[in-house]
Amino acid sequence: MVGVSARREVVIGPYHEYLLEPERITLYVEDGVVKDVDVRLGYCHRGIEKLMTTRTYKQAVFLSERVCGICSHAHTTAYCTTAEALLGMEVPERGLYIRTVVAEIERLHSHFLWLALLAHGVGEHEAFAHIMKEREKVMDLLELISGNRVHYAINTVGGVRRDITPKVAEKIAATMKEIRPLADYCVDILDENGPVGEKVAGIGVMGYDEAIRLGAVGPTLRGSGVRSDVRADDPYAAYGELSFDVVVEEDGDVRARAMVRARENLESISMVEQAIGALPPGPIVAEPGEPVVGEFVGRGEAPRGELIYYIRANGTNMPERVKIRTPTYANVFTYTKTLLGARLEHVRPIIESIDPCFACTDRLVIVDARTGRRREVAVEDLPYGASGGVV
Amino acid sequence: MAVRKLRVFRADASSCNGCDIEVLEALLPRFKVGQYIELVYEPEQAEALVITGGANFKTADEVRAVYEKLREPKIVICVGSCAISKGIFAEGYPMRGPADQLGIPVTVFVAGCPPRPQAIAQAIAGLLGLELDTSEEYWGVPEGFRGLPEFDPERCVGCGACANSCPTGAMGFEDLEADRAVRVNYGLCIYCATCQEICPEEAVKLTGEYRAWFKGKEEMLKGIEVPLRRCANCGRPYTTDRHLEACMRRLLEKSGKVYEPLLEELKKLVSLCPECRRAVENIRLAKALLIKAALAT
Repeated sequence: MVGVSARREVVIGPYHEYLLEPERITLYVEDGVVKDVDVRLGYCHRGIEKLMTTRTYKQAVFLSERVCGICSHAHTTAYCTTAEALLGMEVPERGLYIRTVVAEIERLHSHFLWLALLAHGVGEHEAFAHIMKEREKVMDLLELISGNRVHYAINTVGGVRRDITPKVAEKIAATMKEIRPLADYCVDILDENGPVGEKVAGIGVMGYDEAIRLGAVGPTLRGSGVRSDVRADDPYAAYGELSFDVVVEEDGDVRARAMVRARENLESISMVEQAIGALPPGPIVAEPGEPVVGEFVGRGEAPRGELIYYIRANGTNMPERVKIRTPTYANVFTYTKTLLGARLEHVRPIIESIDPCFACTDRLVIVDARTGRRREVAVEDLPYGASGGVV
Repeated sequence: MAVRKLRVFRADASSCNGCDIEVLEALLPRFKVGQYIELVYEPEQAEALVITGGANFKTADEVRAVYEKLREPKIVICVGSCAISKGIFAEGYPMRGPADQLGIPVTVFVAGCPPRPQAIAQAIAGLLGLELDTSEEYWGVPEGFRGLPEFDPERCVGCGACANSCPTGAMGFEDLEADRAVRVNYGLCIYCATCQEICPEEAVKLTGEYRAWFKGKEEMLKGIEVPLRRCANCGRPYTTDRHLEACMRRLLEKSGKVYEPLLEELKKLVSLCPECRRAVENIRLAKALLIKAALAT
C-alpha cells in the first residue's frame, strides 16, 4: 500500500464479531471515515474444483453441495443443470418442479437468516430473535423434505433423488401459509421508518452504472435498480412455468439491498405455492447419460445472485475441469465503492449488505490496493499458481 | 440451577458455513442450552472453543493460535465431519487439518454433515452436566431423516458396492483372517445416502439416529463382519461366501433357463479366485461353459 502511514488501520478478521466466516478485511481510516480497503480471502479455500475432477459426475454433486452451507441447493442445481446439458440428459418435469420447490424454500431460509443477521448487526436484537425463531419452521420443512437441514442431497445429475409425497406437499403448503406473516414482518421492519430500515437507509450507496461496472449480481445488483435475474432472463428448472416478479429497488443503499431480499421472500412463497399446486406426475430422474467430450457453461440464480458453472468433459465418467463463479466473488468488489467514504459505524451493515458467503468465494487471494485513481488486482499465495487455473 | 455461563469462541477453520450456522442455531432458545453459553470474540476470554471445518493452509495456524490463547480448562468441541476428519475435502490440496492432527486435544467430536442443532445442543449439555428436556416433537426426527448409516448383518454380503460409490470413503472394507470387515466411519460420513441407494441387498440403511458425539475417533467406526471365501485351488481369499451366493442367485433369477443345466460346471468355476480362473485348463473350462450357454440361448 502506498501512502497509508498517516492513517489508522482497522483490521477486521480473520475471526471477528462482524464476520460469520473467517476473512481479513483491512480498513484504512481517517477521522472515522474509511479511505481505503484491503480484502484478503483464502481462509475457506478447500480446493473443491480440483477435487471434483477426481470424482464421478454423480459424486461431484456432493462436493458442489458443500461449496456453501447456506445455498447448497443452488450449487447442486447449477452444477446438475450444466452437467445434464453437457451429457444430453432430459430431466423429467416432476424432477424440475421438485428442484424448484427446494430452491425457493432454500432462498427463504437464506434470506431470513441474512435479514436476521442484519437486524442483529444494527442492534435490533428483538427482530433477530423473532426472525430466527420463525425461520426454524422453514428449516424443519427442509429437513422433512430432504432428510437434512442444510445439505439436502436432493439433486443428482439427471433429476432429483427424493420425491415429494402428497403428505409432504400438504405440509409445504401449510408452512408457506404460516411463514407469510414473517415475510411481511421483514418488509415492515425495513420500511424507511421501520426499526431496521431507518438505521441502514442512505448508507453504502452504489448507483445503477456503478453496480454494473463493478459486476455486481443478484440482490446487490437489483438493489441498485438493475433488472437482472437468471430465473427470469434465462429460465432453468421449472421457472419458465411459474409467474413471478423480479424485485428491483432503486435507492442502491443497504436498505434497498435488504428490501430486495425481503420482497423476494414473498415472491418465493408464491412460487412454492404455484409449483406445489402444479406438481406434474411421472418419474423424477432420467436414465444415465453417455460419456461425452465437450464443454458447457450453465448458470442459476443463487440467493446471493448469479452462479456460473463451467464443466469440461473428456469422455470419461469424471469431469476434466470444473470452474465455479460464485455470486459473492462478483459482489465482493462492490466494497471498493460502498466502503470508501463510509463512517466506521456503518461498516458492519455495509459488509453484511452483499450477504457475503466466503465459503463460496475463497478461490484466490486478492490484494486490492487502491491509491488515488489507481486500482490493482493481483493474485498471490496460490499453491498451484495461475489465476483460477487449478484452484 | 445456577451455572456460570460457558464462554465459547467459535473458530471457522475453512468450513462450508453449514456447521457454523447450525452451531449458532443450537444457541436459540428452542434448543435450551443458549442460556448457559456466552459467545465471545476474543480467544483470551474463552474457556471453550468450537471448531468447524478441516483447517486449510491459512486457518490451520490461526486455529492453533486461538487454542493457545484459550483459558483453562480449554474445552474443544469439533463440530461436523470436516472438523473430525476433513470429511469430503480429505484429499483437497489446501487442507492441513483436522484439528486433532494440529496438536489440539479435542474434548468431544459431534458427527454429522452438519449435525442437527439438537445434537450440538445435547453434546454441549453433556459437557456442562445438564439434563435437557427433550420431550418436544422436534427433538425427534421426521420420516426419511438421514442419520447414522447401519448395516443389516443378516443381509450384507460384503460386496463393497457401498465403498465403491461412497463420495468420501467413509464406507470401506478390509479382509481379516477369516472375515471381511465392512465398516462405516461416522466421522467421515456426509450422510448423503448414496450407499443406501446403491446397495443391491438393501443391507445398509440411514437410520433416524442423530445423537452422535464421541470422545475418541475409534468409537466412530461401526461395522459388521462377513465370512470370507477362499479359492478352491490356491486357498487365497477372493470374496465372501454370501457375495458368491448372491451373484449365483441373481444369475439364476435372470437367466435360469440357460444356466440351470450347467450349474455344476458353473459352481466349479466360481469357486476359483480370479487368478486361478486364468490358468490354461480353467480357461478351457470357461470357454466350454460359455459355448454351451450360447447354444442354449
